[in-house]
Amino acid sequence: MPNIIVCVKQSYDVQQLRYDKVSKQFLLAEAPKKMSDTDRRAVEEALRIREKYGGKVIILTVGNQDSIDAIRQAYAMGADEGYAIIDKDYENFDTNNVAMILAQAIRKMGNFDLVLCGAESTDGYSRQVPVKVAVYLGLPFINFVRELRLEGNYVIATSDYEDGLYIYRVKMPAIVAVTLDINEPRTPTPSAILRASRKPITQWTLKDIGVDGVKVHFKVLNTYVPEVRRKRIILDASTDDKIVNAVQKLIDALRQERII
Amino acid sequence: MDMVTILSYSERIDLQLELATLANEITNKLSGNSISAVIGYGIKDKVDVLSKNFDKVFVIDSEDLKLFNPITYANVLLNIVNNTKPDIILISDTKRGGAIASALSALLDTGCITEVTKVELVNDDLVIYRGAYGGLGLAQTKILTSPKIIAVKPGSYPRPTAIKNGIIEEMKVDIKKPEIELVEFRAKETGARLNESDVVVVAGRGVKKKDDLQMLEDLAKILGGVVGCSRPLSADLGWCPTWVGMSGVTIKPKLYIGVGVSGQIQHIAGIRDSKIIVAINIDPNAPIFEYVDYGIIGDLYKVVPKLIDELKKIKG
Amino acid sequence: MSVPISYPKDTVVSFTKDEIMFRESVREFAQKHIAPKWIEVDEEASKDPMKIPLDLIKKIADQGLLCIPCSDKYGGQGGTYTMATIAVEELAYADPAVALAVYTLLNNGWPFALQLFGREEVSQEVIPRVSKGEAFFGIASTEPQGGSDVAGIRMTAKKINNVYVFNGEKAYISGVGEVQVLPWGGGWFLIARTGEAGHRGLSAFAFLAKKNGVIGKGWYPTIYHDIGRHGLTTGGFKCENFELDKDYLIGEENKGFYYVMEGFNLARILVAAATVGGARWLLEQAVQWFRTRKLFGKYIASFEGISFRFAELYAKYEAARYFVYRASRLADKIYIEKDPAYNPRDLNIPVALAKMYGPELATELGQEVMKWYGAYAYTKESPIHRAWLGLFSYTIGAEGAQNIMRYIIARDLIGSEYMRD
Repeated sequence: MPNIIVCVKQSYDVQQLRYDKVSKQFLLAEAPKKMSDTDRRAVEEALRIREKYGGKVIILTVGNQDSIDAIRQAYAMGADEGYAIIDKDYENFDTNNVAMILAQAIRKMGNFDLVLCGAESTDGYSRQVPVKVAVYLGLPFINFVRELRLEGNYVIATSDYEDGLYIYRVKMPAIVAVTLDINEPRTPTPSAILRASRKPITQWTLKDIGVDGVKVHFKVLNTYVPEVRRKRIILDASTDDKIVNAVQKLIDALRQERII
Repeated sequence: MDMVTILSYSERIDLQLELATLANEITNKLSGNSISAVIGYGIKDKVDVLSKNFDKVFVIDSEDLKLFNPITYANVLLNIVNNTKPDIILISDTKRGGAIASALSALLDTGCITEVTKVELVNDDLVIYRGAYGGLGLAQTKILTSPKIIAVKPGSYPRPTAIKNGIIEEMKVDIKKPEIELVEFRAKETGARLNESDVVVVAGRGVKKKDDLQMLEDLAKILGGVVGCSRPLSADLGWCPTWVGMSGVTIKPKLYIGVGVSGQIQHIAGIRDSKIIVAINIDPNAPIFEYVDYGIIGDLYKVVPKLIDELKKIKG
Repeated sequence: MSVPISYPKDTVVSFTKDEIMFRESVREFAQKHIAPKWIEVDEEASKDPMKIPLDLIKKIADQGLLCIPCSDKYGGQGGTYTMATIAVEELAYADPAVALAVYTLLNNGWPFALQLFGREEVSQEVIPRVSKGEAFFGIASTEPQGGSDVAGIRMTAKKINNVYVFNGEKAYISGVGEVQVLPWGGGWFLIARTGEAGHRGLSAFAFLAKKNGVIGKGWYPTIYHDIGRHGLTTGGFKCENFELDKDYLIGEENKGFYYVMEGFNLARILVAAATVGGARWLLEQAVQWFRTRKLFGKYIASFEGISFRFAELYAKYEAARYFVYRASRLADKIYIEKDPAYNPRDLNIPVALAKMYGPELATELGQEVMKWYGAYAYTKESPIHRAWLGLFSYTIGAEGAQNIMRYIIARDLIGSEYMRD
């Protein structure tokens, strides 16, 4: 009956992110947010483990008020409990800060067998937080997991690296970061969504978990949309005649570019 | 910053060389030392090439490093860090490298930036560029603490021409093995090194079956290039060992040809710096057409064979 | 990277947090399971109308998209009417030929009307099956002599002891095939004559042509070949002494006209939502085309004849969408929150506006988009004609003809006494 803590992040939905055409700056204030794609899979995986072995699925997030929505979403999927550490300075936190806060919260929550995280967030994509949580907690860590099962007190996890799949066995408690390939997360039904909105969420401040303040290790000077200078010459090849023409034009162009 | 010490690490020798280029770029402007760290098992006889590109090469070769774990490796690397006191630590941002960089950043309580594609020296300080928001944007960042840990995407820098004559020094350190056991390893077929080729033909979802990749191989061969896959073909269908795009391989060839690739933003992020981008897709609405130099709207099964025929005529 | 039109930061239509989460959920479901299949469904069923996409119906049911506003004690979702509206809009966006959206809308609106007016035992019997995708429950009002003249209905239901005996014919009824192939069966919110001529002699029934997998005696169905919206069957049926237990009478005898009018109001909101979802898909096709297509060396949207027309149609789209969600919010006030400040008649004009405007906008837009695409759109390879033909069905009939909507708006504003000959 494992207790699983799943760390989730409410991210900007990068697919729907818009930017100002002139300043090239992102319009973050209006951007919709959603739980990070890999984090959702971590929640799904925890739910599947619970369905098989019993136990509890506990959601943990660090963020501003928006991050409550990630817990609601996890509730709608079927999670049991949710904890949010809310801080108004969250936007300035770096990965060390977030990992340290998560680790502190996990310590305070205690009583867990497994911590699941998404290997990377949808918006930040730094891949830094899960391993840092493991360092701070001093627990074994397995990264890029695309298959997971339990065997008694052990986790059997398949890590996906560039050169191959590594199947590891590690005793719990452990920290596991999952990839997009691990499962297809469920889409909650209306009744599950309605039930989720009535479920309580525990909110903590940094003080509540014994963190006095954070030291920031890096800062972002500017984020912008790089100029795309492409020719965008579109050739129609919808009929046989047009194919001949399009291919010829492409070859001429590649010659001019000195590629052939 | 005068007299900087830069420590470079990668699990791959070829990527160490890319880091050497960046390290040289910095030490050429601010004088300093460029040091390489090599850690692993059975690697010590492969480091000669590094001594020609770094001032010093530290080697830790131990059977205890046979099983990879980022936290173990970061702790081992920490010994070299403590020994050399670098101002800057460069690590190539592979799956292993990125995690080692992150773990090291936690151990040293210092800032770390991953997904880095470019580092600039501005007023003796480093401005570090990384992809942002799923590859849609570019972020200029600065690390406020020391040492600065920078994880550089493979393919961001070329290889240097060997100019140095460094010392190789072997170190022995205590290694705390992780409480993790490797049960099984299943190797992936190692395909062509996508980020080393001048021409890359990438197959997307529009390619209907694995056998059809042969047609793309034919095209790539005529152009002297290699074939890669988009994420779904690799991750979901397993047609290629890895994929082109974010979380896969970033490429910047002279010519990229996307065949049946729709062009998700994560894919675009991985090809953005290609010199010429060509796409062939039957769907005029495929997002990739917004990023191309030349886009052909048509059936790839008709266009590609015709293209091969015409190229054959030219190349004989 | 183009941002789809589908993401308005809604300021006019304000959704609750639950509704926003639900919209994301249903959008993801629809894009994953419905969007990749809609062309195949439309194509297959165009050759054989009985190629009903049962697997997708089951998926829609499992996702909780049927009987959304129905009480959870009947196996409904206990949601808002606006949630049902969102579900239909998103399904139509994923399947702009709207077969699956229409399946979904019928099996939200009419089970809900059954719950409002029918006997509790009947709701308990029917709604859980509909909700699970094992039974169909739609509307059967139209007859061969016409649909708009509800008061002129001829099918009779004669009460003999404990049963009603039905004789007559219904035509252009959605779901005649589904009732036959779904495992439990189902039927319709059916209107038949139990009394005098005119609207005061009509009663409503939970007419189950098939239940527990058994088709009733004296029920003779036929299936039509439609020109579009393939994947949802349209047909007719004859009743020859078809018997139904008296408990399946909905509400009071001879009050059926009033119940069905309220049911139509509810269902029309969802019909309009389907056309808005389909229209959004069409708009996105147009935008994508404008961003790739060049003519005379210029992007075609640089011709004002095209871009201005597009802007006008977009304005109509936003108006249509506003009409739809205003009506669904009002339906929530009346039927879900049961706010005493509102009554069912308040829905007449808002619903008629939505049902008049949505289908006409979608059809007009479909035609324009096809013209912008040019000859390609006239080929079978292009999917646009499928959307256009599917959406067109809602300008023809379905929960009330377009001119009936105009009549309702005018009547309620001017007064019916000033609109007689």
